[in-house]
Amino acid sequence: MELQVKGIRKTYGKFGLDVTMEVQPGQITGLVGKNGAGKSTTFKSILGLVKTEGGEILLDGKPVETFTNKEKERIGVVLSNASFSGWLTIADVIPVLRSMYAEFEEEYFKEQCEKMDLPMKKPIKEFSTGMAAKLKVLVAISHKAEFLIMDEPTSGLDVMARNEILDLLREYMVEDGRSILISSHISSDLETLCDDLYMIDNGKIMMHEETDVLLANYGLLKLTDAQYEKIEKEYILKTKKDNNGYVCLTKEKAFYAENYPDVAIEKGNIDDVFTMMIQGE
Amino acid sequence: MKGLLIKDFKLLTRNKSTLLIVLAIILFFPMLEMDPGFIVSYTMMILMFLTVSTITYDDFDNGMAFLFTLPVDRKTYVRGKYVLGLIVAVASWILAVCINVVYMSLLANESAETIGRVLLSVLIIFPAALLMWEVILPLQLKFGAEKARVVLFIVVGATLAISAIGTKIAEANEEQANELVNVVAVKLVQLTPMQVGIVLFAVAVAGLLISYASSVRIVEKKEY
Repeated sequence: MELQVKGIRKTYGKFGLDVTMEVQPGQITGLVGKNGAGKSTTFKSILGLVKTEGGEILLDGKPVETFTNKEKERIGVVLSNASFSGWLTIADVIPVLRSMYAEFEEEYFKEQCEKMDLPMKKPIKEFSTGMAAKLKVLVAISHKAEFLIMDEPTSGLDVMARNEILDLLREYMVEDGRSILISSHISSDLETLCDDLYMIDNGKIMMHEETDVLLANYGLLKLTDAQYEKIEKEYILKTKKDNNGYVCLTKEKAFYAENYPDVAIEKGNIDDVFTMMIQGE
Repeated sequence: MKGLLIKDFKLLTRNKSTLLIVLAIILFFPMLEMDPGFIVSYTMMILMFLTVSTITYDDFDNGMAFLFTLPVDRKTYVRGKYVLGLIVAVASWILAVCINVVYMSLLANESAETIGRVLLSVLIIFPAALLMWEVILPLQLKFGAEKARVVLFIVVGATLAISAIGTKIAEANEEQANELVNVVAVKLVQLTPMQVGIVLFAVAVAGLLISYASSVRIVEKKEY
C-alpha cells in the first residue's frame, strides 16, 4: 500500500502542523523529531483521530476518511500512548480481535505471545513497559495488515525488547507490497530499519532523505576559523559556531575528504544530522 | 460491533464484587419480603450504570483513541454502547422479575391477582430506568466519568431549583396554582396504570432516539 500525505494542516494554539510526505509500497519510512515536533499529531491526523484543517491523506489512492471498517482491517496501528483497556487480559482480547479482523492469525498471535512470555490472564495494566509494547505490535501485525502505522513502538524499551520488536517488523516486511510508517526518537532503530527518513520540527518537514544516502554521503566538518574562511561552501547545508571554530553539515562528504585532506570529517549519524538541521544556520 | 460487545462483556465481568452483590439482592431480597419494585429497580440501575462505566474503562490511558484505529467507526462504537445497555436492561429486568414471580407464586403462595398487580408496577420501572440511562450515557461520552458526575449534580440541582422556584411562584399565586393542580390531578387519576406505562414507554423510546443521536454527534465531533 502507498500512503500520500498532501499538505495536511492542524493548529493547536501557537503550534501549526503542515506536513507533506509519502510512504512507497514495500518501504519502511521513518518520521523523526523531538518531543512536541508534530509526530503524534501527524499520525493522529492520518488515522482520523484529530480533524485536519486542510490537505489530503490518501492510502492506496483513496482518502483515508472514506475508509470503511472492512478497509481499516488492512491497516495495523501502534499508538505511542494507547492500547486496549488495561482491565482486559490477552485472553479477553483474542475473541475481540477474532471478531474484528476476518484475517486474524490467532495461532501466530498466541505463539508469539508465548515466545515473548506475555501472560494470557494478567490485566494489561499490570504489564511492564516492554510487555505492553510487544503486545501492541503483535496486535498490529497479526491480521495480515498491508500497512503499519506505528508511533514510537520502541519507546522506553531496553535494547533486548527493542530488538525483538524490530525483528518482528523485519519479519513482517518479508511479504511483498507491505509498508510501514514508523516514528522513533532512537536513531539506531531507524538507521537499521528504515529505507527513508523524514525529519519534522515545529510541525514542518525539515528534511527527507534515503537512509543509505544519509549514512554514506552526509558528514560533519570540524573547522577552525581559518579553515572555515577558505573552504568551499557550496555543499554546506548548515553551519554552527562552537568553541573550537565551526561545525558544518554537508551532503558531499567525499568532496571535502578529497579536496581538504587536513579537515576533520566525522561520519554523520542520524542524530548529528538532525541536530545540525535544527540548530545550524 | 460484535467485537465491541465481547470487549464490553469482558469488562463487565471485571466488576465481580458488584455482580455478586446484585446476584445476592436478586436471590435473597425476595425472601426478606422486600418490595419487588425496589429489587427490580435497584438491579436494573446498578447493572446499567456498570454498562456506562465501560466507557471509563475504554477511555483509560487513551484507550478510546486506540479503539478507533481498529476497524471500528465512531457510530458503531456508540451503537455498541446502546445495544449493550438495552441487552443488560432487558436481561436484568427479566431476571429480577422472574425470580420475584417464582418466589411469589411458589414460596409465598400469592394470588395471581397480586402477582399481576406487582408485575404491572415493575413494568413501569423499565422505561423509568431507561430514561435515567438515556440522560447519563451522552453526558459520560461528552464529559468523561469525573466531569459527567459534576454535570449530573448540576442537572439534578437545577431541576430541584426550578421546582423550588415553581413552588414559590405557586405559593404567591395560590388560587391559580390550586386550580392547575386539581386539573392535573383529575387527569392523572383518570389514567389506568397501563396508560401510565404506555406513556412512559413512549417517552423512553423517544428519549432513546434523542439520546442516541446526541451521543453519535458528541463522539463524531471529539478528537482523541
